[in-house]
Amino acid sequence: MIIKTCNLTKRVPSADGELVILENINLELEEGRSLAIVGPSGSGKSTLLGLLAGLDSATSGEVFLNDHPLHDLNEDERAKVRKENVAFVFQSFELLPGLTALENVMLPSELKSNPEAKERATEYLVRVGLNNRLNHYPRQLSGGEQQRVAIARAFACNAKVLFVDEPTGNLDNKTGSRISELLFEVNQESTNALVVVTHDVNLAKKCDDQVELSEGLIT
Amino acid sequence: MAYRLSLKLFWRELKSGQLIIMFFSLVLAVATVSSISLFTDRLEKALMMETQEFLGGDLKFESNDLIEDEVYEKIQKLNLKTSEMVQFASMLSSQGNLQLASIKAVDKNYPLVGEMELQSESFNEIVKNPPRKGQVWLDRRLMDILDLQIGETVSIGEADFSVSHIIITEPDRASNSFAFAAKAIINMEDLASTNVIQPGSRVRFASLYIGEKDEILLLKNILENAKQPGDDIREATDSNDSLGKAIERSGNFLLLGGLLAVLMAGFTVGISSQKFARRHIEYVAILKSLGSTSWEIRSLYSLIFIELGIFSIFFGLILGWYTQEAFTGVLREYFPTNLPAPGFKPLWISSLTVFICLIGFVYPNLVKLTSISPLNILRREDPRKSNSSYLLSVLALSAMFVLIFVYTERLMLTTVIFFSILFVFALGFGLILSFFRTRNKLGLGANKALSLAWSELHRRKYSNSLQVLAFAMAIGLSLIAFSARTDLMSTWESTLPPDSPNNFLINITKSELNSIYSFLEENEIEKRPFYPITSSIIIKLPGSALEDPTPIDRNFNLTWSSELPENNKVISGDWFKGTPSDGLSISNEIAQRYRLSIGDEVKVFFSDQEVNTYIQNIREVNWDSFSPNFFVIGPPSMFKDSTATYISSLYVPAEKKKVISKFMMEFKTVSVLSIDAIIDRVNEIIEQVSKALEIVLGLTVFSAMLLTLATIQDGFNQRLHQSAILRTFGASTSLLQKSTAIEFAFLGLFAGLLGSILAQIGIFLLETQVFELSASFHGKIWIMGPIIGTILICTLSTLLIFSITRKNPKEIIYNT
Ligand SMILES: Nc1ncnc2c1ncn2[C@@H]1O[C@H](COP(=O)(O)OP(=O)(O)O)[C@@H](O)[C@H]1O
Ligand SMILES: [Mg+2]
Repeated sequence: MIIKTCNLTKRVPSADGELVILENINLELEEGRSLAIVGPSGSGKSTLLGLLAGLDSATSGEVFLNDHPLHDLNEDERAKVRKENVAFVFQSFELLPGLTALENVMLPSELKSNPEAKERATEYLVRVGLNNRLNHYPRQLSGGEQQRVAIARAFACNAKVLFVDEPTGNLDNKTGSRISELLFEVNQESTNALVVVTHDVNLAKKCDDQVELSEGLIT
Repeated sequence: MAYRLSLKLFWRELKSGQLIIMFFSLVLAVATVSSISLFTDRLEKALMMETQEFLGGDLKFESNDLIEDEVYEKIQKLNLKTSEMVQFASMLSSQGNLQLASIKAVDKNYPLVGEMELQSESFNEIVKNPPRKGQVWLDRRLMDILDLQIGETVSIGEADFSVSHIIITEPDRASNSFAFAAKAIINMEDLASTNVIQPGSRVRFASLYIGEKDEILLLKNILENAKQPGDDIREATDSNDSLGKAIERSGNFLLLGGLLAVLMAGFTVGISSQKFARRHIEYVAILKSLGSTSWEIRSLYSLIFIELGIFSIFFGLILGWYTQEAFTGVLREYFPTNLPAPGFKPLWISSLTVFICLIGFVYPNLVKLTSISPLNILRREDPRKSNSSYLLSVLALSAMFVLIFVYTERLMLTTVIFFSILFVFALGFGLILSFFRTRNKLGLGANKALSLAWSELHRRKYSNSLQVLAFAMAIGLSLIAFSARTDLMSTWESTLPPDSPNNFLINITKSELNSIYSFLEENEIEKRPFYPITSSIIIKLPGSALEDPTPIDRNFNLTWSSELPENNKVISGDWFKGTPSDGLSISNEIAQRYRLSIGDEVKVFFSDQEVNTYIQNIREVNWDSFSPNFFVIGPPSMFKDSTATYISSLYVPAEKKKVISKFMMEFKTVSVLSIDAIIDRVNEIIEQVSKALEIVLGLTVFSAMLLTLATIQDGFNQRLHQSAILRTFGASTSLLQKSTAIEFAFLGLFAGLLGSILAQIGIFLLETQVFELSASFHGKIWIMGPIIGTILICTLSTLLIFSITRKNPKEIIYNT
């Protein structure tokens, strides 16, 4: 099992008592498979994704990522797990504005002290079709191009699982389907599993498994 | 509509903490400025009241003749209250005892200001009227010398008077000619019957006036025009004495301290409002898409900041009032009169300060915010990149200049301070940009803390230079405040050495000199120089036949000495050589006021003699020293036939106070003037000012911290976001902590060095311009600056890092 959760629950304090965002989520994902999480806006999809990737900690329950018990680890230990296991693509791209496309893609390799960061980054940018955009800054790129840079960065992570949160939400249909294709390419070549949150029915259908969230529960 | 919305927004922003740094820094600025100006305002007023009482009115005119009718009529037309008096010296006799005394005949308006404190039989009374006809008031010495009791009779000239009271204090103590002689006061109506005033007798006619400022000014003009040689006009505002100077300097100094706090507040609101503007782009976008015009939006935001200004002034003034109460607490005991209520200056200077800050540092950011086109807004473009940046610079620089000018009121000093700050800024920018000039290596260098820090320093060189300058300002200004507190104040305090003379001996005759010398020796009191004085009039002779001779319109108490008195320095010409060709030595004030220079020919009148001579040298006199000081000194050879009385000063330690009474018994005609009280007052004021300074220092350091906080907060979101992304891909918190610490340590060190430069320049200006001390190098500052900088900034960065790593990456990325 690359991902396994047991009664995963997330509650946050709010003005009128505790707000339950996720309750008793149990799911499993085998190596080599892909999972689509669907559901209406506000149902807790992003929260779940954050918990699975170890970006956030649960209120109760267990979550294992590649057999690492994330619920038992502190922030630094989780960072170490993320370095080897997590690649992430966000809805709003989340590139560093002060770095060029190339430098953004180099980041994961730099963090792993890989001496070939530049060569690898160039390779991945070429792979997503941005060979003439290497030294452009994010603000000089369109949304689709920025998302492709983010995908190249995910390639560079060379991690076990690719997590993706509504990758096409900010893009038009045509660009969106090109991005979806690329994501599956990354998953095939570089990672062992894919978890994608999406509204896009076509994208969800392409995945091996689907779960639907509604008001914090799997339906 | 806009007004209500603006209040709502103002509250929301204040509560959410977005305006809080701006609010606090403005409140601090107002509190600093208002407390200082309240303090100095009340101190000056109290002193003014005192000098008015000391002089006996707002203006005193003294002459050897009665005022001419024509002038008198002009003065009558003014709306003034007047009291006239005649002063002369005459013999008093009682049962065969004779004593020369200074007699003052006063009219029915006496005393014009203040009160007389008198002793009759056994009790003291306070009166506000002249002696009755046929009565005389005597001072205690005269009573003792003449062996008189209250109720007995004393004759002055041909008239007999009944002694009704003993004078304890009188308001008009300041007088040129007979101030320190034994004194008697009679009613003007009795003057004629004494028959002592004959043609040719030495009499001073004095008139005292009180009235509104404008009227006094008119009066002064009339009198200046009618002025004859030997006439003297004195105003209560002429405070050439140590106390006045001490207060003037401390006022200047405190206001400069206030200026520092204000400048920092200006920068703080500048930086914070820029951040504020960036956060409001979307809000403006929504308003614009709902159809609001730029003008409407601009007035909405202007209103928000006007509200901010009004609130800050309100709370700042309250804080300032209480701070000022702490300053004046001790002073209260020292001023016999109640501390006067403050005027409106503190209010308008605080309000002016706040609004200059808002216009200069905030308004340009609002203009940028509201002039962004909706398209720009959709693309979330940074308003900093709009092409109206020059407006910000021009307005901010002008605001800075105006603020400095408001506080210094001196164009030259303003220019110097302004360009010093610009110089340090340019130096800071230049150094940082050239230090990181080389192209950075590719990538963020995120594998090691050091390389990450290094590449961050490279990447952020522009915003870092701003931050470094803010840090440097904060450090430099705190260093100035610190060093002012420790070094400058102690240097200043030491200008009044503990063995400064505390008694003056006046009216000594030549025949008494030797017995006084032996008296001092017997009682082990150090003898200081004895100066002969004689009254003189000086006329400048024409340099060419075309010019008229110019009389110098005052009496000089002139002395002669072959030695240069202590606390005097010859600044041009040579000191007397002891040859017949010696001329006169004058002080630089006299040289300036009467346009006299070395070699000018003058004629001196004294003791029925006149001598043609010239100006041989010009001296700088330290008027702060409590020794006899003279505007004019001549060579002994010139005055060997002159009649003179002698003047000297003594330092009598507290444990030898009794010697003074002994001295007064032995030398009844010598006047002893104790200035212990004045010295105590000067010391008290200096101490008070250092206390005030400590508070100002505290407020300044606090403003500096707010400024630093504002600059760090400015780049905070960007750092937060970057750290979240790095952490998503596995960067450890320790990597981020280390690299941030290294980055900030470097910035702190750099800022510390710049701060030291700034402080050294600032202290130089303070030393030379405000304290009139000689400039010196302050090694301590150069060590403290970088150390404080590094420690301060590292502490701040630790806090920063703590708040960055406290939140998990998901929260940061999804919620900002
Ligand atoms: N830190 C938080 N504090 C309070 N409420 C939160 C927090 N994070 C998420 N929520 C709430 O939890 C719900 C689920 O959020 P999210 O996981 O982002 O939903 P989705 O991605 O499905 O749209 C939403 O109602 C959101 O407002
Ligand atoms: Mg979501």
